Parts: sequence; structure tokens; C-alpha cells
Amino acid sequence: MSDLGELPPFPWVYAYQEDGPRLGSIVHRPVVPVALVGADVSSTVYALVDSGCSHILAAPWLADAAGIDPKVSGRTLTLGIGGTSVKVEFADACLRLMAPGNGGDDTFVEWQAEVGFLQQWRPTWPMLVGQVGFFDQFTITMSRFALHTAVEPVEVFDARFGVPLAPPVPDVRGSSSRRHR
Amino acid sequence: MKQSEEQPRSLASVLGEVPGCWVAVDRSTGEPVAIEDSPYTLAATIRSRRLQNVAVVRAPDPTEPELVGLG
Repeated sequence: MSDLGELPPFPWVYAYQEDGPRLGSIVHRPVVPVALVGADVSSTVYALVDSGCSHILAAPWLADAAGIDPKVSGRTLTLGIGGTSVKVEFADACLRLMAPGNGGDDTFVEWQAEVGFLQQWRPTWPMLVGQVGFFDQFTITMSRFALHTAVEPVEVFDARFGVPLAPPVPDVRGSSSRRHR
Repeated sequence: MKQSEEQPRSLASVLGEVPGCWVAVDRSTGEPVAIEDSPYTLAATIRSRRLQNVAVVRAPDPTEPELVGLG
């Protein structure tokens, strides 16, 4: 993880954002401002924080905006999304989480992750940050009650709850797991 | 119209005005600063106008169902 300049202290807290209206209804989503970095830096998008997804997934235009060619890696997966199967092309990239507040686009933390690009995209949020690549980089707390998401350093979990016993996580993609360090 | 300095504009009120479009909203005020039909065009607009402190989202059509289980 890297940063430029002086960072505001953690936790970084982000308000839920409204999704909709759809069929007369508005739902609140946990999102964080994220940009993709490849040969270029993409526009910042609101990324959906999705604890139920194992991947980071993004709209195809974000690959173009960041100067990333997802076909180069040759890594593809077929994922079941919304009751159908879609082909996802994965590429290595940097993710840039923008600090909350008025720091603009110059205050952020950045880390390497694998990002899967879909060929079509309809959700409100152009990116989805899941377990591998986001939840393994930070301690994330989402409160529907408070309608806010808190992002803290990954070590905070152990400091708060102790180091729980857990089975080793298979390291199938070369990503690091605390249990194997 | 900006509601107040402390309370950013609600995102749904922005999205409801431009269904189907891609929008760059100011992350502090919630106000839309660029709107395009295509995300590629919007990204080019953000780059050419050097827009800072924005976040890109897609405004759903009001007839679209709520999305669940995306990933």
C-alpha cells in the first residue's frame, strides 16, 4: 500500500449513497470512491462494497480509461451473475482509494489487485470491490444503522477482536493470506 | 440546487433527472458536474475539463428493477 502526501487518520468513513429511483424505490448502498491505475489513471467512480463477492469487478470502459488491456493476461473466468453466466477477463492493476472529505484526488492509498472486467455493465456503480483485493487489504465495517462504511488498516481487526483461530485459506491465485504469512 | 454546505445533494435526486445517462457528481456537494450518454465520453470529458473530486455513476432508468446479487 502506498500514498502520496499527508493522509488523514483512519478510520476513513464514507456515507452510503442512494441507488435509484427504480420502480419507485430507492435503496442505500455502501460505496467508496476508487480509481483504477494502469498506464493511465481512470476517473474516480463510486465502487460498491460487496462482502459477498470474492472479486473486484469493473465496467469495461474503466479498463480503457486506465489504459489496461484485460485480454493480455489471458486469465478469464466464467462467473454466475444475476442468474446468468458471463465471461470475465482479469488483469493486474492498482486501485486507488480516495480519502473522504475535501482532499480531492490527491489524497489516497493505493495497492495492487486483480480486477475482472465484464463485457457489459448496467449497475449504477461502475466497480464492485469484494473479498479478494479489498477486504483483504482493509478492515471494513458497514453499518446500515449509521448508513456509513468505515475503512481501517487491516491489522485493526486483530487489535479489536484478537487473533481468531481459522482454517488456512487456500492460496490459489498467489494472493497473500494472513494465515500463511 | 445545493441544499446546504453540510448536507450534500441526494444522489437519487440527481440520478432521477438523467435516467440512462452517466454522471460525474461532486463528491463533496453531490451536485452533477458532467453528464453524458456514454461512459467513454464522460471519461473523456472529465479528462479534458480536468475535473477533480468527482465520482462517476450510471443513472438507472426508473423502469429497471433493483439489482441484487451482482457479483
